[in-house]
Amino acid sequence: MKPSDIVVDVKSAGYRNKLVFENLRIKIPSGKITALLGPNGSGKTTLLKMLFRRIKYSGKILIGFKELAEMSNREIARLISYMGEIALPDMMGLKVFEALLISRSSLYRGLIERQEDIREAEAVLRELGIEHLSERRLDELSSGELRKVVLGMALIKHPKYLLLDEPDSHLDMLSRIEISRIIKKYSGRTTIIIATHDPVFAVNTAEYFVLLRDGRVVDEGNLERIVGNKSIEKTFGVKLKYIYEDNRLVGIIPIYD
Amino acid sequence: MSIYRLFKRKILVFSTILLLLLSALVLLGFLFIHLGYGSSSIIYEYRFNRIMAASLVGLILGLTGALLQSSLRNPLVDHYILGIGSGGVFAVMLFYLVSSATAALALLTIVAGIGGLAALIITIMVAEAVGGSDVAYVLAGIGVNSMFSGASLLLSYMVASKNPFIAYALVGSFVAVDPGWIPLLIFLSILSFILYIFTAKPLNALLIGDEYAAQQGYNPRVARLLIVLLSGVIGASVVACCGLIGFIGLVSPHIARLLLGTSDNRMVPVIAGIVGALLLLLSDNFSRLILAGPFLVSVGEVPAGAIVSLFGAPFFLSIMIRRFRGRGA
Repeated sequence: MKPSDIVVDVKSAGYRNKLVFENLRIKIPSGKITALLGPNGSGKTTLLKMLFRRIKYSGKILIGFKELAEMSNREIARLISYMGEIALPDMMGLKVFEALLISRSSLYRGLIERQEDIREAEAVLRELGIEHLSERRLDELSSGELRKVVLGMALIKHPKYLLLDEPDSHLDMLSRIEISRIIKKYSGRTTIIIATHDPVFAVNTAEYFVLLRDGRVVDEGNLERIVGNKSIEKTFGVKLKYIYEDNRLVGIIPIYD
Repeated sequence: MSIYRLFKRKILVFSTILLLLLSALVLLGFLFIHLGYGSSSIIYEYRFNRIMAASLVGLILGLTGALLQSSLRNPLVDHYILGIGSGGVFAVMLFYLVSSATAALALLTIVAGIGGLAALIITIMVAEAVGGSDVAYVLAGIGVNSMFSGASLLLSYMVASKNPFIAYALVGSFVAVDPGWIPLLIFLSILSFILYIFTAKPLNALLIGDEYAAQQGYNPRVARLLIVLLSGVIGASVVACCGLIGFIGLVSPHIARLLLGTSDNRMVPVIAGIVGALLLLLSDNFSRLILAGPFLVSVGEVPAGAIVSLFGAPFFLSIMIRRFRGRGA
């Protein structure tokens, strides 16, 4: 076990009237991209939200040897970025550049951002190839553009742990591939966890997999293991056909019968 | 780098300096008058107090109105729409009814604040019970507003013998402003400014969403409730001074956002405060002159609150139309 791994050992967790997890044990390796893969309602988002204390749990969550329950809000804010759906401030437009700067606001004291923060925002725009969107309003962006901006808002804090909730949702094929490519660029520097229900996106992006169904871990491990165990089939309850190219898994097709 | 980005820091610095300068001027003028330099002239004292009261009330309503709108993520609300102002007026009337002595102004301010808080809590509870949408807040506010306005009107007849100016509280006017209000209003302005400084960053995070705010280190529910209640109470307490003035808190943040081209809460509340001060000062002057100037029909004046509603209400309706046109609702 590496010192910055995430270890989840939770007795129970969930919402006021719905228990999602019972006796959940997962270890997420640091510096890698981990995919939480499972059908809708399997607990992916709940698990991600537990990791920044948005969901109450009983038990233990260690983030790099540190007990999550004992960390301060500020500490968590600096360490972890979570990005899911964001609300669009339609009534009072917010521009992309401002949204990026706001996302760094937990890093500086006082109200006015520093030169450093402006440079970081410009760097993120460059890195994601969205410099042309800088002065556009969030509510005027297409889904693909918005996903990239949201990813930028998560990356700009330089978090040690990056939690991405369905970064591939509502995207066309090219945008999915682009998002996947961007996420992979940050692997190594950052521990990334993505929640998705698309096995194709998962296997082409992540290096480690946790398969969830109805709040239980079906299987966890690297690609060979979960394909060998037929775990994706078990998780989703469908028959699958795997497509390989140069010994690399490139596609997964569900069989309709 | 866009022009906006270049000027952003300057806007923030400039408006802060402007505010500080204004408050220094107010303080100086106040001291001059009350230390006796200008006290021989009643007109000066009267006008000065009135100008100060109108601008300070405008500042407080504009600033806290911006905080209310941002924290509720609702562009259709202010102290008037949510019924907070009426709650304050009602509490003041009730206080006059039960207490025979002339009350200290600070006490009246607190009473108005409590009344506003009660009204706000009712509005929030009703609105949240039916889903908490922006329209739910407006409708719940209308209900609460009518309830307290009606009760206040009733009470105003009963307490008219104790305070002949009390009827003005229902429409909002600076006719009967006591000089003792100025330090209280300055205090409330400072309070709202402090509230703004501490809430600008969490409000920006809340603007993008609750989950987002949570991962930025804020508890969204607690932060939202605290900001709504505090800005509501501060805004409500000014009705003790000048009565119910609607729409300043609604219109000013919108004008501020238009001027700035952004909804960044580090700037909008300050500019909204300045816009509010100017709007209310203009309205008050207009209300004082309209009968004497162009029409020469009678002596006396129209309450400032009426003038504000005259332009505020159409503005509110236009925001509502713009907001719902694209939504099919």
